[in-house]
Amino acid sequence: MLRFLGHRLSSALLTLAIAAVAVFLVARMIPGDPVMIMLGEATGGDPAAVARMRNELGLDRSLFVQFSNWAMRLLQGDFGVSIRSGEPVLDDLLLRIPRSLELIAGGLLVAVLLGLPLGILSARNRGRLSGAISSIVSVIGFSAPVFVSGVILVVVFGVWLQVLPSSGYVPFADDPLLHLSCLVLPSLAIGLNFMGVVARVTRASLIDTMDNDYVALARAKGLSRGRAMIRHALPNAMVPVIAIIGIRAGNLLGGTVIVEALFDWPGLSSLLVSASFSRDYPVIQGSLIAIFAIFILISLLIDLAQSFFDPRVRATA
Amino acid sequence: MTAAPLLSVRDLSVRFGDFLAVDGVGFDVAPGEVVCIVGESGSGKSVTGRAIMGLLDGSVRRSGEILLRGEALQDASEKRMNAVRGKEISMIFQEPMTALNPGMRVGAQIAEVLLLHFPVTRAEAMRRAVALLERVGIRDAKTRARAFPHELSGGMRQRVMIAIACAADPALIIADEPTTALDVTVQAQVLELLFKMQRELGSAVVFVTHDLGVVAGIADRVVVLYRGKVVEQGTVTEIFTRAQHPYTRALIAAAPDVELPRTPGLRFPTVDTDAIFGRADGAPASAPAPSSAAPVPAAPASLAGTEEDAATPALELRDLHRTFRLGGGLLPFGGKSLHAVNGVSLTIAPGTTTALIGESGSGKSTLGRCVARLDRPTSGDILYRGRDVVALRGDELMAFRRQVQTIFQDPFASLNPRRTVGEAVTDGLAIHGLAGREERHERARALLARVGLDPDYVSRYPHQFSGGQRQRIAIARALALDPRFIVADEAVSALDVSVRAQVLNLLSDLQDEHRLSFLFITHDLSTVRQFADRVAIMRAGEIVEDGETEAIFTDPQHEYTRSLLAAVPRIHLESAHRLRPLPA
Amino acid sequence: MTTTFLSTFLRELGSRRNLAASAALLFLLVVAVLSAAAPLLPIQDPLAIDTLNILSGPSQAHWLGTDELGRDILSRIIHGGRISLGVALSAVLLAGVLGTLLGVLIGFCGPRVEAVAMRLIDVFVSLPEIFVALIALALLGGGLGTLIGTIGLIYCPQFARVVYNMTRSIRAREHVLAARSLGAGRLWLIRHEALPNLYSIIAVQASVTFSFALLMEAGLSFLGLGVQPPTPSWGQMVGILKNYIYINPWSAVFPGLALFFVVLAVNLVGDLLQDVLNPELRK
Repeated sequence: MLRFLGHRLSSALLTLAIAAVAVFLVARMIPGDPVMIMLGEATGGDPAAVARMRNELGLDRSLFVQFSNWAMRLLQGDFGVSIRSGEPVLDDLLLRIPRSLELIAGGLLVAVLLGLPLGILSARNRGRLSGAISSIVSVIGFSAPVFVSGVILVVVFGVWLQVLPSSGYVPFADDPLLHLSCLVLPSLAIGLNFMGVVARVTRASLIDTMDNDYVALARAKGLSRGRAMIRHALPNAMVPVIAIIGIRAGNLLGGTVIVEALFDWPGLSSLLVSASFSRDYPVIQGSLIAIFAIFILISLLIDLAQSFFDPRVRATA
Repeated sequence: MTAAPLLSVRDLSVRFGDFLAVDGVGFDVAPGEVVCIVGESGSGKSVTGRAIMGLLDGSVRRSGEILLRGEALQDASEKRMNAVRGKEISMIFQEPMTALNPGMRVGAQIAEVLLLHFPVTRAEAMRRAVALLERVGIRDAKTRARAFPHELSGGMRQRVMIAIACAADPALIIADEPTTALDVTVQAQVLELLFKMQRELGSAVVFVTHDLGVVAGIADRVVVLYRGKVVEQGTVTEIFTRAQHPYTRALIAAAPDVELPRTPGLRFPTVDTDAIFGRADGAPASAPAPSSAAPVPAAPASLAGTEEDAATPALELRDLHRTFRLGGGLLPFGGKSLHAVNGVSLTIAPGTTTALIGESGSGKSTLGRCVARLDRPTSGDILYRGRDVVALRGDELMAFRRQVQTIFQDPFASLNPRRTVGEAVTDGLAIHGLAGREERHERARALLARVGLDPDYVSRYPHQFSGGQRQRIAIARALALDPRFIVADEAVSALDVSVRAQVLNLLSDLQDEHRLSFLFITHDLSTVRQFADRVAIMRAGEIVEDGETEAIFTDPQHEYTRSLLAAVPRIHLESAHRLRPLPA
Repeated sequence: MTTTFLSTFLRELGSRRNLAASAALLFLLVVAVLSAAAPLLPIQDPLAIDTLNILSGPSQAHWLGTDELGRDILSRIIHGGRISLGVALSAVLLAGVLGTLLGVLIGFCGPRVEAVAMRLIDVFVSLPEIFVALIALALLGGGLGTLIGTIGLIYCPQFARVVYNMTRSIRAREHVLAARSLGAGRLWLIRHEALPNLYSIIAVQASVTFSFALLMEAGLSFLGLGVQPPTPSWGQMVGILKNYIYINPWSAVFPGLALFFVVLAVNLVGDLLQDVLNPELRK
């Protein structure tokens, strides 16, 4: 188990390192000279000033030296300063990371709590009305884009019923109840789509697993159909479900981009979007790295969950 | 039979949609009796077993009576059935790989039965599960109980299955081909164990199998099925010594007999089901008689400097090694390595058949692939008619490709589902640019006729043919380039005995006509005694013994060869290794 | 038993069990015809501004109401569909052709290239797509060509991986070994042994990618990074109209529903494709 953990952890760090290189290179590919942008029109024409600035920023060094300097600063927690606000990027990131995590956790909760039972129901009652209905619900959830379900949720709960706040964010410390009620609609918006994914995979995987001889053996032991499914089929059927959650974790994270924009949620993704509109490169770099880190963290958790359900995964570290 | 039957099956029918899988089957099982249900694929034997258990779900319709000690199980509630399953009737499945829950420790899987049917605590159930593991011959049972199925070998998994089936001391065990997936030596051990447990518990057994050799060793009574119907039933002595039905007689005659001394020119007895039962609808018929006169013109193939020469061996292997690296990723070091072929030397004379025999994992298929140049040896030489196969390039390689062909095991996987039979058979000609479209069509017809299929089938697709017919198509494909040497990798292992005999006869005819040399790779000793000139026994990548076929069968030198030969089921009652006394 | 994937699919489509899928296919056909013929249809000009009549609800003159500049929403949905479907379709074509080519070639180019190429593809597949698209568009600027190229390239590695995995399993089948033993070269193996057995999985993957591409275009346009005004696209319309949700909630809902129904229909048809494929795989 320890070996397995070590293996996964080291490959996660490797991915993060690759991501950092990619982020660095992307920043260098940006059209337009950052020095010119920083100096502005007036002094930008003076070659001596440009050269001095380049030297100060280390931009005259080789790409490799630049990268290692940048990486060293990153490791020390120095993510640079926002061009737009002049604030250190790291402070903003630390403020926003928990907010985005909150959204992801909320969405995942909705997806799993609704998606699993829905998938089990439609697998178990295949060929019956209740099974068909659950299948339809899941394909509808799966097909509804995050912003469409989001807009409909806002119209229904925010505009008509006016029972939940339709946008905005209140810090937990200020008003815990309001904070949580602000979280409901965004979580639903992210989670409903993902619920469809979870339900569909659960159904397919469960039906597949039910065909295995070991489920027949369980019934031959005297277990009822339902118990054979819950005890023997379901745990094994969870392996592909977790895998798909891992593979689609990007969608969940991507969902936050839309949801944060739709609900004015001040998280990482909205920071990235606004930074890319204003070409605030240090912020783009910083938030990208933070997003990758979250993504890799999710993948790591998925791997661990998978090894919990499938002893064979642990063996193939 | 005087005692009241334990189980009585009356007029059982099972229908999947439009397909009648079991058609009015009836038989009795007395307490403690072993009844074998015998049939080839599609006979409905496995479905019968599951139907008794009430394990067929969904769109399946079952009719007839299943009486357990007079109780009508077909009408029993689901709750009652759950009490019966596992406690009164238990079941053993074929595939030890898939029949155990991969995510659950084996001890817990055994304990589950006890917890379901007896008022025991979890700790007590686990203690008894460990005891059961010891009883089925698993050493270090306490540790093994905490293992997952993938950590055990196939034979051990099947022992665990037996432990599960015996856990609640059932009155009846239904065993569905429980040893078919196992190597012959493991099969012998597992059968021995199963019937040791059966004696101790006094349970009756319904044993579903296709293997008459196994039947001869264990059955009290035999039920022969064909296409869902009972053809004949009787005591094992009746069935094996004075069977009434021509199908039963033909089936027994066709069963490979390891004791029959090699008789050159002997034909394998076939089972002509069309003559016995009339043509089955749907399946395309085989051509009435393979016309050996069908013209299969020789393709102009010669490997420079390798003219026919009786003195030069067709194939010579010198100290052949093939090592696989396991794990280790991209790096050229690290990870473990597997010596699939470990220093093999072997010589095959032109026009002869050498059988390469080994159990699963012995490296025999890897060896075959190296010979056909589908894989590269790590070291050592492969000389085909004196030429180094590994070094062949360009035109010489293409000439080699024409002369050496492979026939594979799985007739379902070895034909491209998207190509017509005519295309498949003449692909070789197209690849080598040896014939135009028109000519290929004619050649395809001739080749199909040669292997005993209707030439008009050229435009059909593989899925429209049965397993045996597909294997004939695969043979036709190998013949198209007029080869000199054929590697047959378990070429008849997946076929029913009745079809197997026909394919083997075809192969020997072709050998005579074309002076072919065969490397006949198989795990099945019983078929090769008649078929091969020489036999090589392979274990763990090495050849432990090789020699003239009769010498190997009558006077084996190596310990392993002896144990292999001893484990092969005999199909004569007098010589069968009976695991229980013959019924009076 | 039938011989081809397509004929099984068509027969299944006709059966009563698959009513939803055949309805979905019919709906997609109607949408496709409407979108293609949009400029010829007797509908209002999608760009005609009417400042006196903004954000009105459904009426005789404007069946689905008007947007923030008084433009007819129905007309903009039909013209927007032209853009959204066109972008998604082109992106699928790009991803499909490039991905299939890559997947098959990687499957037949030897173990070393294979290991390296698949590592790279795995890295690309594991990147969160929308962020890659976001950055690419922020750097490269808008334009339909860039949008199609970005979305197509983003889904290309996924496509390649699916095709590669199937190729790898086909490659190990005995009929491929038999062809090799007959002397078949790489080109023959790809053309006659691999590709014909890949068409069905390509069809399924194309349908999956199509719905992903639709959603991606919509998401990017929603954020203001995709299709630029005044050219309409469904996602972009939702993105703009959501700001007026308290004035007229319907206006944002309609283009969203259009997108939803099309994606739903694509998924229903895709499900049937998958059902037809799966028993095939099991055989």
